[in-house]
Amino acid sequence: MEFAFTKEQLMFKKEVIRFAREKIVPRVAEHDRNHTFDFEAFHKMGEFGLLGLHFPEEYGGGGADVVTTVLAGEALGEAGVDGGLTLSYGAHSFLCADTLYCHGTDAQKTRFLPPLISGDKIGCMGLTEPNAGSDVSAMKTTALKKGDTYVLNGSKTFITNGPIADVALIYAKTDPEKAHDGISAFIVEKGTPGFEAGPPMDKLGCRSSQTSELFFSNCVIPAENLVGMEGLGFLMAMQTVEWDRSALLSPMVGGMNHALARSVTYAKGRKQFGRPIGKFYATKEKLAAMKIFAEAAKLLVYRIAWCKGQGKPLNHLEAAVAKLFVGDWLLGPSNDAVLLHGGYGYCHEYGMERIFRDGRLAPIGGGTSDVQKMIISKMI
Amino acid sequence: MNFDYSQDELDLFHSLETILGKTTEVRPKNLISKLAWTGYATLGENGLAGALPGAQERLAQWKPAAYRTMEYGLRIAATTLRRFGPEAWHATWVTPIQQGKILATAALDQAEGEPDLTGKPHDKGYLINGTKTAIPGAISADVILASGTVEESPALFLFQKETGDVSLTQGATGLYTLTAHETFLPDTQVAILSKKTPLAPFLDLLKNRIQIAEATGHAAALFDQAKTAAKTCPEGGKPPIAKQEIGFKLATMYTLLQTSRLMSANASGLIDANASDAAMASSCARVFCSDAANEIISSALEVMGENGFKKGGPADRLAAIQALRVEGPSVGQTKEAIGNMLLKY
Repeated sequence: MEFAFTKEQLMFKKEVIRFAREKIVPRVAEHDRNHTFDFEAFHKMGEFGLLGLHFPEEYGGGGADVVTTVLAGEALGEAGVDGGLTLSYGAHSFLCADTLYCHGTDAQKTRFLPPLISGDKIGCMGLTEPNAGSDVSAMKTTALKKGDTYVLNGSKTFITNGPIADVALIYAKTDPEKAHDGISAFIVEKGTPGFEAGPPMDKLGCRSSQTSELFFSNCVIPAENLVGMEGLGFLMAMQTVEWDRSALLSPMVGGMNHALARSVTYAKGRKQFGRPIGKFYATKEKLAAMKIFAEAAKLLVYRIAWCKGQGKPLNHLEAAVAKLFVGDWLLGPSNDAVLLHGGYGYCHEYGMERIFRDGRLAPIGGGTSDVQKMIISKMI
Repeated sequence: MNFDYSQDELDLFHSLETILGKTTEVRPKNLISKLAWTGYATLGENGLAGALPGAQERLAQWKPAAYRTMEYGLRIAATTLRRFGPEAWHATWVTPIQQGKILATAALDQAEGEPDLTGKPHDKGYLINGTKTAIPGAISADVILASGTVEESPALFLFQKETGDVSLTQGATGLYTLTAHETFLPDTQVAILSKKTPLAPFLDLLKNRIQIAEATGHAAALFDQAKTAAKTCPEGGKPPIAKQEIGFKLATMYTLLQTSRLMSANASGLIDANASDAAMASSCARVFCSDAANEIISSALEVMGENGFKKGGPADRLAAIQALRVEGPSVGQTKEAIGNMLLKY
C-alpha cells in the first residue's frame, strides 16, 4: 500500500487552487447569498479544463487519470469554492457527461460531449422521483416507444442543475412492469416540447447550485436519444456511484481543509482572556477533529478513486463505507468550525456557516446514510 | 498510490492467521520464535514494510496479551538498536531479539513528577539514575532498552535482567515502572548519541504505531465477534443482523474499522518513509483508532448482550482499550499535540 500522490498531481492541485482562488472564490459568498448559479465561473472552469478533465482529448477533454480528476475536486473545496458549485460540477461532468461518454453512441458523444466539456452547455441527471429516492426501482416516469420515438411522462425531483441544464440525462421505465431491468436512459434537450423544469428549490445549503423538479408531459424524443440499450439504465446509474463516492465527495474533504486553514488563522489571531484562543485546549480539540476527519475521509475517497482508475469493479461495500463516513462524520467537525469562530461563525461573511450548511447534503444526496448502512449490513 | 496488498503481504497475513488461530502460546518469546519463519519479526527489513500494520493488527487481534511486549521488543528495541546503536549491538542483540532467543522491551516514557533516566560517567561505564514508566512485559524481558540522557546528549541504556540496583513495579494497567538508583552499566551497554539526534520523536512514532495497530486489532476482534453473533440464527427465527437496529450498528462498526485500517496503514507508511507529515498522520490515527475501538466495544457489547460478558468475549478487552486511551500520550494529549502542530505552537 502506498497512498502518496505524484509530484505532478500535487503541482496540478496547486494550479487548481490558484485558479479557483483567483477566478471563482471572490464571488462565492454573493452567489450563495442570492441562491444564483455562477455561470461565469462555470465557463471558466470549462476553459481551465476542469469540466472535462478525465475525458479523451478527441472530445476536448484533458485525458487525466481518475485520481487526478478527484484531486481537482478536492482542490476546489480547499480553495474555498462552495459546495453548490462543486455539486453542479459533479452532476454535470460525472453524472451526466460521463454516462454519455461511457454508454452513448459515437454520434451522441460527438454532438454532446464537446459543448458539455467546454461549459457551453450544462448537463444534469434525472433519476430521483417524489416516491423513488433510494428505491430507484419504484420510479414512475415512463418512456414508451412509439414508432421511431419515445414518449416520456412523469416527473423527477431534486435534480441538480435542473433549471439551467441544456442536456438532461433522464432515467425512465421503458417496461413499467419490470423493476430495475425496466429502466432505460435518455437524452432530453432543453426546449423539447412537453419537457419543463420547475423553479429552483430553496435549499438549506449548496445554494448556488440550482435544484428543481423536471416534468415530462407527452414529451416526444427521437429514438436515437436512447443511451445504451433498453433496460440497462439502472446499471448505468450504478456506474456513476464510483464518481459519486470519489469526485463528488472530494470537494467536501477539500472544504474541510479550507475550514481548517481558516480556523487556524482565526485561532491564532483572535484573543480572549489575554491570549490567542488557539492557546486553549477547547480550540485545539476542535482543530484536531477537523484534521482527523479530513485525513480519514481523504483515504476513503481516494481508495474508491484509485480502484476506479485501476479498472477494478466497484466494491459496493467500500463505496458505502466512504459515503457513510463522509456523510455522517462531517457534521461534527463542520459544526466545530462554526463554534470555533463564535459569533463570526454564525455570520455569512465568514463562510463557516456555509460550509456547515453545504455539508448537510452529504448524508442525504446520492444515497442517504441509512441506505449506506443497509448496504453495509447486508454485505458484511 | 496503491491501495492493494501484494501477494507476498497477503500470504504473510494468511500465515499469521493460521498460526495465531491454532496456537495456545501466549508467551511473547515463544510466539516470536514460532512466527520467525513468516518474516513477521523482521518486517521492514525484508521488503514487506507495507504489511506491518496489518501484521500488527492480527497479533493484537489474536494475542492481545502478548502483542505489546512482542512489538516493543521487535519494533522499538530492535529497530532502535539497529538504527542508533553501535555495530557490536547488532549481532549481540538485534538478531537474537528477532529470532526470539532474547526477549526485549523498551522504556520510553518519563514518569510524571519523576526525573528521567540520566547517566554519568563512572569507571568504565555509567551510573544511571531516574525513572521510566509504561513498560510492557518488563518483568519477563531479558533486556530493557531505555532512553535517557548522558550529559545532555540523548542516550540509550541496556538493562539486562540481572542488572542490580534496578527496581520494577507493576502499575494498575499492567505496565511496569523502572527505577534506577546509582545503577552501574558498562559502556558496552550505553550508547551516547549526538545532541542533534531526534531520538525522542523517533521513539514516539514507533510507539504510536504500536498503539494504533493495537486499537485496530481490538476493533477487528470485536467486530468479528459481534458480526458472528449477529449472524447466528436462533432456531426458528431470523438472525439478529436482520433487525435494523443491529444491522446499522454493525455497519457503523465496520466503517470505523475500515477507516482505522486505512489510517493505520497511512501512518505506518509515512513513518517508514521518514516523511515530514508522519507525526501528524500518526497522531490523527492514534486518536481516531483509539476512539473507534472504544465506540466499537460499546456497540459489540450492545449487539451481543450478556454473551458479550462471557470469558473470551468483548468485555475482556474493555480494560485494555480504556488503558490504551489513557496511557501517555493519552488521546486527549494527542488531540492537543495535533492542535499544536496545526497552530505551529
